[in-house]
Amino acid sequence: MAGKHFLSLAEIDSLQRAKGVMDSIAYSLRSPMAQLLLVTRDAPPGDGICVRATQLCPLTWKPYSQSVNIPLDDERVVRNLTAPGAECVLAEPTRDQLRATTICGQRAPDGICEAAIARLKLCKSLYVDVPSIDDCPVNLECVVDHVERYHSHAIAFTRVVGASIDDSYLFKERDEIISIFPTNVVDDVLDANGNVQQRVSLLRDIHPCPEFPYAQKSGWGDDFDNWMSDLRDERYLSTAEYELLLAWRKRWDELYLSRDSSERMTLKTRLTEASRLIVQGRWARLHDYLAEFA
Amino acid sequence: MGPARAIAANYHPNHLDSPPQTDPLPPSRVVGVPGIAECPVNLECRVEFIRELYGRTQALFLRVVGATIDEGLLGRDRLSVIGEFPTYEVDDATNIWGGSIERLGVNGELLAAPNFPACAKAGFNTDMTEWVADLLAEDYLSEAEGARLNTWIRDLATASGEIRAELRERVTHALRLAAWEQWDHLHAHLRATGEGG
Repeated sequence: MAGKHFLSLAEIDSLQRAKGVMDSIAYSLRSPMAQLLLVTRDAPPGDGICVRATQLCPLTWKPYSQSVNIPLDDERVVRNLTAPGAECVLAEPTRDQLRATTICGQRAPDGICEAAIARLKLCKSLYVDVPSIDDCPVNLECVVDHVERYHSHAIAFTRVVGASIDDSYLFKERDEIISIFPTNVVDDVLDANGNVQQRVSLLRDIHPCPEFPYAQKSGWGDDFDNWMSDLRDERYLSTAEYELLLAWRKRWDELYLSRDSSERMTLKTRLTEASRLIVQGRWARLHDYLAEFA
Repeated sequence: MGPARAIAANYHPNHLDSPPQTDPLPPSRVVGVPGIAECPVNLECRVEFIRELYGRTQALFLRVVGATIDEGLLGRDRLSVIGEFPTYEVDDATNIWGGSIERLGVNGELLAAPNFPACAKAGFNTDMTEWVADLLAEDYLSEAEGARLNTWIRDLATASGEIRAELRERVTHALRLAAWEQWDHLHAHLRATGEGG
């Protein structure tokens, strides 16, 4: 690719960097991730609460589930998450809690709760036996369904069974909320004294994606046939054009496994070109194109 | 406008003067699946394994075996890069047909979190004992104070009952004062508690 810098597997594997030195390549391959505070109860014989700053990755909507990644050498948290019947709380810190989050990025001795050091107030959760963090605007109460050991990390699949949200956030505009949380871990740098400093970012702009007629009325995830039907209903396509496109699509399905078929190749070209003209809003050109096959 | 946001713009009616993309997708270097030339970063991956989730979703564990990055990104300021990609799914707005409009966000601010002496010099994912050592090395704690705090931490590991509860409170309070840089209070705490036992 012109203007592209290529990295081989050996180079990627060598990106394990010194703390505070994240070059453009390592940054670009990772990109910012939403930050959270993971609360767990110490597995026996432990007797405390552990709070750890880590990153969040969504899994499914139904049921609502998230995954969290923990380095395997964080034995306290790994032990807590892999204990039978393990539960946890995922709390979302705000931009005003960078110090508290930083403190929870360190591992306190067993029996010491990082939240107490960070001056974060714990409160009772409703659905799990692990406390929530009162100072955080959102707390997700979770059960741990599965822990996958993957190379250097343990990945916990957590299912949300309850949640709490600060009432005040229910009435804020979305663009105000995204300027408060979540904080996204960007990188870490060295300060003038050679100390590592983490940098986080917050969202700023919200961009609506193009909608109908450049996509289905219903939004993402709907199928081609419904999109064409929408275009016909709103007169972007005549009935004849709609039927022609649907006939192409149905024939395409019939020939899908016939990889050597010249008709399949022709249909692929036609469907691609017609779809491209639609998403670019080139309606006159679309009508001319379809008329060639009427 | 950067590459990621420009891709979305190509579909927007206000930006229809862009010529249609007719070039084939560029081949990847390592895997047999092409990349997308317009995207600033392409990660070439192999599927290591798949886990079923709740009967309707699969989680794919992908190992990155190759990658390409737009060379223009490599020398750029990080703040300018985060303003272009990655894009984040923020929410869905409702359109006039009752369907949804996906809304995406990009980062716009870069905030520096507090660092040493509020945490270890090495930052995140370090043990707090390392932080105590750093505080000692940089004279935020005297040798006697450092020794006292380390003794409490060491004893906490084996103590039980009321002694454990007492040590837990002492250590928590000392680390809390250090984390919030209340040095006078920290010295007083270590001195007073040390004298007391």
